[in-house]
Amino acid sequence: MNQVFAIAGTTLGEAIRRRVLLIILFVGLAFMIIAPSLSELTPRGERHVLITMTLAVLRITAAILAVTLTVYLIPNEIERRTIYTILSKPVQRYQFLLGKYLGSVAALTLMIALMTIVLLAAFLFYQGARSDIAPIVRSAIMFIFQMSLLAAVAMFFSTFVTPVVNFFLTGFVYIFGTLMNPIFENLTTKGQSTLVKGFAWVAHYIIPNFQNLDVTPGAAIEAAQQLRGSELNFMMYGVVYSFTYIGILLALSVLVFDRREV
Amino acid sequence: MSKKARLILFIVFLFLLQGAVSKVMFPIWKKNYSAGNVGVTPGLTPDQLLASLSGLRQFVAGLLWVQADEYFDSGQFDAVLPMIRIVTWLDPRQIEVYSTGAWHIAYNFTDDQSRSDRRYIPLALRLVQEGITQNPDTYRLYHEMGWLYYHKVDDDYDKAVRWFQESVKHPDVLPYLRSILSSAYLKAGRLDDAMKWYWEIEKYATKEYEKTGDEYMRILKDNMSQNLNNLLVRMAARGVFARRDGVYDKMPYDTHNPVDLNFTVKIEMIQPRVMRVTGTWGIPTTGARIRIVLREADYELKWDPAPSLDFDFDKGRTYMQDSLYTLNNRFDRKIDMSRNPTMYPFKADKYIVEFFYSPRMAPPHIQDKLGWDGEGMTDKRYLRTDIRPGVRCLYARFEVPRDFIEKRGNYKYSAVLKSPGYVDVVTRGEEDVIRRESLRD
Repeated sequence: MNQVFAIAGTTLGEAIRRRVLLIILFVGLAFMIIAPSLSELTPRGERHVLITMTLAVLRITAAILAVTLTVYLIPNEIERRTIYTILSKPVQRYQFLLGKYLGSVAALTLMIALMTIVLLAAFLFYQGARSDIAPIVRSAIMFIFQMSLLAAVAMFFSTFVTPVVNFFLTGFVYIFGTLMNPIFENLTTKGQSTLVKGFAWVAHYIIPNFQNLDVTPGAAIEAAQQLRGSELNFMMYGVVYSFTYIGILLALSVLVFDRREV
Repeated sequence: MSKKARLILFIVFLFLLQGAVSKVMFPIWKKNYSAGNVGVTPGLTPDQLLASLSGLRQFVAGLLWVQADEYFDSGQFDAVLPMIRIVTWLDPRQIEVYSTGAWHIAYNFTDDQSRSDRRYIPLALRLVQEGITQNPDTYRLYHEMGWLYYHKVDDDYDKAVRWFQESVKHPDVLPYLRSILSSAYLKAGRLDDAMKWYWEIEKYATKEYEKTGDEYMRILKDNMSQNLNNLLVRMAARGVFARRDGVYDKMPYDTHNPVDLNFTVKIEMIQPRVMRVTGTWGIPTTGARIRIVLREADYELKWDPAPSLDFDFDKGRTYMQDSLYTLNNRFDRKIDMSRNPTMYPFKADKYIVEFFYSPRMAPPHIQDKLGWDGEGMTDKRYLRTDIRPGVRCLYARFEVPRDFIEKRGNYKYSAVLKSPGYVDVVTRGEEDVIRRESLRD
């Protein structure tokens, strides 16, 4: 495992040094600092709007960070030929992939944590509502798992497509995965043909479902009381789901990367 | 087995595992996070649609709610309604939108004399009903529904009771909101239930105070104790217990020798669609308000949720409701319906003018004389017991043609309707004015 952690550490260091990521991070941070001060926007439902707005900024920034960070991981190493140096050492290909992935997840976690701390500080400073901390923290924790899954998707594609194609493919999977549950819900209602239902079932169980890792909806804020125990269950299942799906994607990446000539 | 084969087996195992986890998660998602099988596409602009499809549904809903708020503040009330609809589609868990939306629909569509447009109330009830379906596990919208029946409809206390009962069943109900159920019981004539509920809250607050020492619980306990005492005194003073014991007639209760309301009224159109209602009745104290309704002869509003949340309801109908403030045994009010043609289109040929007074709607000092069930009031012309079963109410009904309202045709020079026995109201000047000295004087 030492090799994996060494690669992960280097990847984390590289990620922190990359200017593009820092710019995205700073834009996200700036939005989050400004957003809670826009209280004059709405006298009614102000809290709800502000929380959903700032969490949306956090989500978008984290998603862009996850994709930008991951799509170049393998291609960059191949392009700069540094991969030869690494693989010529006693490092297996799966260790290389795992190290790269863990490094990018560590970078993502660090950035999401940083943005969440800024968001909470800004909220407490402008709004002073301590009751908002729990739903924001819950959502942010689940964003880490959500973006780790997204990073795994990008990582998988990066083993066989170019970064530009990967960017769009991952974006498409993210959007589709975010809509998976409502689509499944609509397509499996009565009145739909067996073919449509069958398609919905297959899609539902094949495409990574990002809504399984999303506790941001109003439910997390407005109707927190009505969720009670089931939200924690949902989060725990979500964590298991993300680990399982990430495992699938990493294993598939290893399968593809093992056959790839570099 | 080769390394590759093992890896493939591992992937298959993980795939089955994620499928199983996903299967468990979907019902939880559906219960807590789903927007339901409602289309969100109608009414959204392409950018809003794109954002909502990108997993930012709640964010778009929040922004639209901000926009709705701006419309509301700038008085563009009609523009708020579709916004409310879209926001509830996008984020059906935003309880605030249902409660604020229903309040807005029920209260804020008014004419220039601040009369609410009652035609909207079924829509408000429908919105809250939909909110309850989407958010059944919290007290909030049950309470809102109860409040709409209790305060705005003000005419169907059984339904108010039903919704408040649902509200207090939820453990998250705020303690200070519980006692409204007792008030609804009282208005519905269920005195024993009201008493029991005050007692329940008192017991709860006492227990909580002993356990936590929370000052608020002490205040709640004391208030409930006081309410309970007041109710017992009122029940005794109004002869409720005596009636149950069969000795009511033997004791000199205030409700004996009923007040003869001797209700008389004159309806006069002073201009087309401007009505002056004057009249007399037997209640001298302030605080009593007689309800007046002017409606199309075949248009009786049912205080039930509308069948659908379609804001394009039939606006060609006319329904005006107001209350006549009474003082010194009389009332005199000018009702101007000429400036709001969309609220009062007057398209039908026949109209009904109704006057209604129920002791259940009366304040306590009047109920002390009239009783909860109106046993202390009578009227030789308009006393009815069939309007609200078990309650003696005042109900007068007059039919007028549209020409009367429009002051044209046979009514061009005189559009006046006097009830039998009408006595002209004479303004008595200073003595009719209530003066309340300022604390600063």
